Amino acid sequence: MLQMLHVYKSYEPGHMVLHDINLSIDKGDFLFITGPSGAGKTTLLKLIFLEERVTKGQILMDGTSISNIHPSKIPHLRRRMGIVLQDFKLLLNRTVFENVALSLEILGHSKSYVRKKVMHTLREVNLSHKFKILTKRLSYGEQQKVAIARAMVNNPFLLLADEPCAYLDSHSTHEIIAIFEHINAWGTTILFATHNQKLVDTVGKKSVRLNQGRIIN
Amino acid sequence: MIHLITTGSIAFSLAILGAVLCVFLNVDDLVKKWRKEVSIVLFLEDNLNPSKIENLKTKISEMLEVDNILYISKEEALKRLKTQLENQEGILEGLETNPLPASFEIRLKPPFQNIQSIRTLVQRLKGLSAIDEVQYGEAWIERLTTGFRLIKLVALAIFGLLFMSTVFIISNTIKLAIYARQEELEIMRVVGATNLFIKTPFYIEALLQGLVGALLAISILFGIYRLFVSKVQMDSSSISFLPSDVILGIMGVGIGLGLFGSLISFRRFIRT
Repeated sequence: MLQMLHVYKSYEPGHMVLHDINLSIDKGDFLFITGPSGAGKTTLLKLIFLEERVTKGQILMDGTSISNIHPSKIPHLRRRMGIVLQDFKLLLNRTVFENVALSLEILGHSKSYVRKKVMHTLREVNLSHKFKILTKRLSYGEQQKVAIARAMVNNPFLLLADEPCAYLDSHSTHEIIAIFEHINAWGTTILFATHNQKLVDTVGKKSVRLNQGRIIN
Repeated sequence: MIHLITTGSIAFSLAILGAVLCVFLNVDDLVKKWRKEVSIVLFLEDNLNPSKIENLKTKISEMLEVDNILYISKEEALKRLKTQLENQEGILEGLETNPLPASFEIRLKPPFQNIQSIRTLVQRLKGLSAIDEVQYGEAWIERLTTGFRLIKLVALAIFGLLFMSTVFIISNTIKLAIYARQEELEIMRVVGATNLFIKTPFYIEALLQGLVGALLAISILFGIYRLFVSKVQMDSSSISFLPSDVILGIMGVGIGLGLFGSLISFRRFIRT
């Protein structure tokens, strides 16, 4: 489903952030990308999400290269993916409902469809009872659940998560992991970047380790 | 607050622009009225017989530039002079003969009420026989033309400066608005919003700010105009307010300023 072929990325000449990355992810996979800070995990996700472009190499999605995709097509591709970031990226002065609805509103869905879908998704992450609350009133763990709900409300085929548990305590971390496993069970492919090797070992899913921009296992 | 600053900037610039236009259009009206008064006076040689005068009159009235021509006989000229002198008619008492020449007064058609056409016509009139002298207030017309050209240049320069400074202010205030909503824009990009979807609310906002700014400017100008007319106790027909097409134009410029300012801001601040 997703292939990275000899992918290199540099932000400045002579300094490669990613070196010769070769990765193949199948539909329905749950793959951890691990490694210390600065290993290139975020950059790798950014390349898939087209926040950044590859310096060299190819990224194929369902056999089609997205490395040189026209900028106007990027939003349409992003709608088929979901992304969860460590700093949540929520609109703190808006309600839980409004934050999740944003992903559907940009597609021009009807209000009744948006309401139905958002409430359904919030039930999946156990937040439906807080749909009217401003996100700034929520705990970090709950805020991350809102971010996950926003990412999955469109039924993405691929969910990217960049250190989604970085600011969370162990209880919230396990809750979040359980939600990701639940989403994965529906068939959504998950790419989960974390520096927390202990978490990876506990969950027991496939993993790829990055160090200084290279895959080392 | 940012919206107020942007709308205020647009209103201020357009009010000054409108004021300049108002002055310019009124001066233009005045100049047009003066130009209508422009006449060429042809002084004729003495002792021309009536048929010669009639031939000359026909010839001149057939000229393309000539709107109408009036013959003033020596007697009529003296009568006019006496009327002009009013209580000083005594000055003329010692005269044994009428020293004033007969003349033609020529008025021009509107398209030819300019210095170039007048000069060309005067050259042709001077070439006619029986014409002693041609007078047309050359210095006065030239002063008028130069003055009007200067006013046009000043108005254009003010418009250019205001346009640039307003675009600069607007683009900066919109940049501030974009900065204030940078987080929201980034989130929208993350969830797959197209650039058009992100930009549209800003464009609509800019359009409304431009429109409100223009309406505000026109209202302020109208208020000042009414005040001016009442203070100097003038008939409002002698100084006119901006015509409706110019008001529509100002509204268009307001909207254009808003949109242009937001376009400039977005060019730098929205990545594709």
